[in-house]
Amino acid sequence: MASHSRTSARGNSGGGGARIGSGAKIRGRVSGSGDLTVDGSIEGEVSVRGNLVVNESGSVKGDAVDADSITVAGTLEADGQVTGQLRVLVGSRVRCNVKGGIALDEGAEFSGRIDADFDLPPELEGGGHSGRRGRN
Amino acid sequence: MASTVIGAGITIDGEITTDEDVVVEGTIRGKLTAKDSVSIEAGAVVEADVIGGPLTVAGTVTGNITSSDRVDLQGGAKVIGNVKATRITIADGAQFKGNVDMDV
Repeated sequence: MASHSRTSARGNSGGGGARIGSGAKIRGRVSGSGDLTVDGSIEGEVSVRGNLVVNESGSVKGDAVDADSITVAGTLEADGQVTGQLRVLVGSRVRCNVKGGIALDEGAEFSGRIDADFDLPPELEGGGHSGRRGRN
Repeated sequence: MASTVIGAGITIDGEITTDEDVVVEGTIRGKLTAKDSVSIEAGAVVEADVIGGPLTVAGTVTGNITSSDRVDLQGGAKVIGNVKATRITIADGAQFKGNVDMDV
């Protein structure tokens, strides 16, 4: 999960994906397959089978966000569920409830609920109250 | 490279507004407004009113097209809707159903 470098976060759309330029604003739903790079702003819902990258100037605000991985250097504010491997880079502002996994860089601003699946260490397993095990 | 690219795999239901240029290879339903050039590539499906600067269409547009400059319907383009621009070309092989308003 920590394999996203700053440079890979700057990747462009490539085949089939989309790039929202810094002067562009989308209001509505963005869906489909392919990577989505946001330098501008999206207000609404995002559901892509691919990587979502929100660059420094970019912002995604609105409802649910669903992507394979989500890398944020700009702003992400979601009232609905955020699903995917979320990486919050330094300088970004993120407010959401995330399900999947999260990596927070030092200096990143995050508020919200984290629902991450992971294996409990053996000494905590079978301890009674928190028996949740996950895929990762 | 264009500022904003809507790739072939992507669908947007809603409104896109930009003061830059746009390349559409995927699907847009709603409205597309750009201050700079708009290119609707072959295979793209736009069910929306399109407003832009220089506008090139090689894909399918269902909706009205308005350009502050020129509109080029290329071979293979399919446009159902009215086109308003100062200069318009319709290439051989382009399908077009609608009115042309050249503001004369």
